[in-house]
Amino acid sequence: MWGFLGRRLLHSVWVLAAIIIVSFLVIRLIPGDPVVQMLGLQATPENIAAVNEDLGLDLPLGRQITSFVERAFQGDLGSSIIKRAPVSDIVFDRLLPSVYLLLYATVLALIISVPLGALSAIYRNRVPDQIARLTSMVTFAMPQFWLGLMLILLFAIRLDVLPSGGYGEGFGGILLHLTLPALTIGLYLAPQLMRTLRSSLIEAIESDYVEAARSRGFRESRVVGKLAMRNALVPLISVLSINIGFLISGTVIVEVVFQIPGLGALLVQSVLNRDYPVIQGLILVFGAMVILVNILADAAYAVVDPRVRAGMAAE
Amino acid sequence: MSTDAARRAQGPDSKVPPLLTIEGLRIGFPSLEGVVLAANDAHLTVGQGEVLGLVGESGSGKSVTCRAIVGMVPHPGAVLGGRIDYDGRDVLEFSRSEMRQLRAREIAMIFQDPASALNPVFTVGHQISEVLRLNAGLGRRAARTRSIELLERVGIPAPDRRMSAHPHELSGGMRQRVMIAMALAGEPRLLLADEPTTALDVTIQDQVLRLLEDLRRERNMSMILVSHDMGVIGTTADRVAVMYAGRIVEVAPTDVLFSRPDHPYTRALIDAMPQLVPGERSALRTIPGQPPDLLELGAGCPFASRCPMARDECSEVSMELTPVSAAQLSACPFARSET
Amino acid sequence: MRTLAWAGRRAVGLRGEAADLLRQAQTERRWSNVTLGIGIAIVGALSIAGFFASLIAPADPNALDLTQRLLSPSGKHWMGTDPFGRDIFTRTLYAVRLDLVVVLIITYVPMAFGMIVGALAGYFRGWVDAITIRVIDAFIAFPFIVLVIAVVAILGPGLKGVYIGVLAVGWTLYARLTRGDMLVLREQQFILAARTLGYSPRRVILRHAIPNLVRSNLVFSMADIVLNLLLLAGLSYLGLGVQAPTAELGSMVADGQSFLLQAWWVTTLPGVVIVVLGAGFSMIGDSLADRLGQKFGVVG
Repeated sequence: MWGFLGRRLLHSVWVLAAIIIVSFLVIRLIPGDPVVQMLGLQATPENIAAVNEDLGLDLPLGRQITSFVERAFQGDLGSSIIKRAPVSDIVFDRLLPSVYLLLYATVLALIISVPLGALSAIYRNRVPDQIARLTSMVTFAMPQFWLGLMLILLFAIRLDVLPSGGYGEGFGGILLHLTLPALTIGLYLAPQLMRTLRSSLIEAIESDYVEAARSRGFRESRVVGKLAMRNALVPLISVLSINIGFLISGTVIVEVVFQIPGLGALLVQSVLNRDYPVIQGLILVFGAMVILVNILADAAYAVVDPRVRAGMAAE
Repeated sequence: MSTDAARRAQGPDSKVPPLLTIEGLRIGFPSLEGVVLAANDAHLTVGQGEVLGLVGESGSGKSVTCRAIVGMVPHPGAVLGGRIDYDGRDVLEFSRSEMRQLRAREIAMIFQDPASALNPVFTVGHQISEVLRLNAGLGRRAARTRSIELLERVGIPAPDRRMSAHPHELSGGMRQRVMIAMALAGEPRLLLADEPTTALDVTIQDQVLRLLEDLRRERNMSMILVSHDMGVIGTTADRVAVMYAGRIVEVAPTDVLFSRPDHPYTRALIDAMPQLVPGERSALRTIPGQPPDLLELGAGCPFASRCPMARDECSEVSMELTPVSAAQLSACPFARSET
Repeated sequence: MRTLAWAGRRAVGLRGEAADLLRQAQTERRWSNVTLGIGIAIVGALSIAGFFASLIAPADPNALDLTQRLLSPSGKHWMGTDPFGRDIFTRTLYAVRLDLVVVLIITYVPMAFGMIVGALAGYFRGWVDAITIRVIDAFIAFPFIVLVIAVVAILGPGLKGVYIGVLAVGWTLYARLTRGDMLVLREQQFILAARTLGYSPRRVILRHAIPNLVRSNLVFSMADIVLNLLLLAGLSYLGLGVQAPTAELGSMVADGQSFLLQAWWVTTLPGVVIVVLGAGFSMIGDSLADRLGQKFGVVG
């Protein structure tokens, strides 16, 4: 188990290095003088010199990398061109809404997909399964920004039961405001979880230990619900962690639709404003989130499934 | 010393230089516990126009040795030492392009499993023509005509119609015939047949072996026939090399080997053959024990742990091939005194 | 009820079970045929409509007419008009054409590149493979849209950024898929046989291996097309992709979002077209995956 976790950690270190490289390159690949591009109309010689110094662009290239990494690990990501504030502060302010949104969306996706996946597996190739599969093909093709707007149209405008955007205050307010956005992401994630659950459940239902349980005369609901489900849930952990990238991609768009003050909305805004230091910082933060989730998922996986513990060590 | 052994391992007709000589070949596979030697100081010769049978249990290093001849030791193995002289030149020293020339012009190989030995997405005709166009330099039309001739020669009925068939439309035997046709297309001088009949029905096995023998005679081709089946070896090979745990333990002309086997391992292999005497029940005997773990091999005879004649000296004996009679070499110094 | 059905099947014995399996296989087959048919019909119809947009369209896609703003769907304007008085049906036809062309490019160019990289890595192994797999891993771990947005940030909003961004990132999944297949394929005897015939590595890879690797990549590409369609529409919705006034389904949705209350159709209808088109590709992919015993989707 420790060998397995060690290898995964090593993998994370490499991914982190790659993310640092990408984020380092963002400013340096801009065609022309990046600082002039960033400053636009404010590109006075003093401003240019100040920004160059702030981002370490006046150093030789080799020094730029080491200074970038050094400063990044100290939490110093430079200053925003537009907001004239440290990038780390700006990004940190936006972190929580995005994290809450991700968690809420995952919970909703599980609430939707677990029963549907079970239904689909039990009634394999019969009407409920076919409806579920057809639905999943349709939701797979739904643009999240559009789905979000449709939910606003229905729940916020027609029914007027939920707010159409913003963030709200206090636990209740945040929960209320994040319901529609989380549902938007959850509806996109749910079909993927459902598919995985369906196939792993089918596999479990056909396995010998489930047959054996049946032969003992257990009720079918117990056989599927308890025995098969427990084994089928394990792959969901890895599906969730593989999907973290897609989930984050979802929050970027959904935060814009619902005007949530999160990291994704900040990213889009910064790109439109050419606020490169902020973009750089956001890439690092998104990367760190992915790595963290992967490590947590690996640890959870190793703890939950004893076969992984044994199998991975022997590998 | 090893050259000496190799010279002695050579066939009876030593006036014509052999086509292929393998000396002291060592092939290793890295593993967590150390290097596994799939071939350990192996010696072989193949004369012009000769069929050498290479026999042994699975895992004894027969296939790997064959693949080393065309520079295709499977990943992550590597040749660690020795020489493979083909027509007087060491192929282990060949550059990539020389090796490709060797494969294209001189040495051909056929494989065990006809189900996966043909590319499933192309027609039979396309695959044979491709060899002819690339390796024999024929034009499109000439390649097609020649392909049909080859298919006919290997005994495929209605060859012109079969040209447009995909591999899955053919039976296993037919596919093996197509493989043979492809191997022959480049007019090779040496054919490496790695378990060519193992995956086939017994009746088809016989036909394919007969075909190989006819073709070999017709073209004066040399051949290494790899098999774990003493029956197949006995009907086809001129001379037999017995391989055990990466080493050649006995070499002899086929009739000598079957009538007067020397090495205890060879004897065990022959005893394990099903006896098909009419009226008598054929009992399949097996060799007791397991092949040795190639990692744990120390000095001495690797067969000692399974050998009915084992004695204390076996753990120190050198594994060198020494002559038993004019054409028979064996690595066991004790067996001959006991019979 | 389920228990009853199951017990009943047991009672009939083997024959009943065999018949059941057969029936199950048949329904699976029929289902797969139906979804394939519907999928092809949807994609075909929309492709034709898009291809002949200039012939079918009743109006000019970019003609502004502020007197005709936000008209609801009618006989004259089948899908209504947008906040600038443009005919939404006309714009949708042109947008379908644009989206299809761009999406095919950003799917199949990376697929070709990824297949070649993956085939080389799987064939040669060693350090080539070690480097490739590390690069792929890093790309795949990262949120796709953030990387593409980073490229758009460098190059500025517009289709150029989308093309380069997706090309830079999109090849990785194909490369991983192809590499895995190639590792298995290269030990297949027909590849060994091709090598023993002295064919060059180039020939073995391009002519003998790649044709065997195309199928699984094509199945995967059906899911990728859907994702790329959503990505293109999403970027355009955010103002980072196709720029105004060019008609694109995602930016058309954005055009209407401030008028959700007065004119639901401006936002809703172009989105429906995206869903229908994407579902068409999904259905084709799902049934192809079924036939080839593969999984459909990006996960796994």
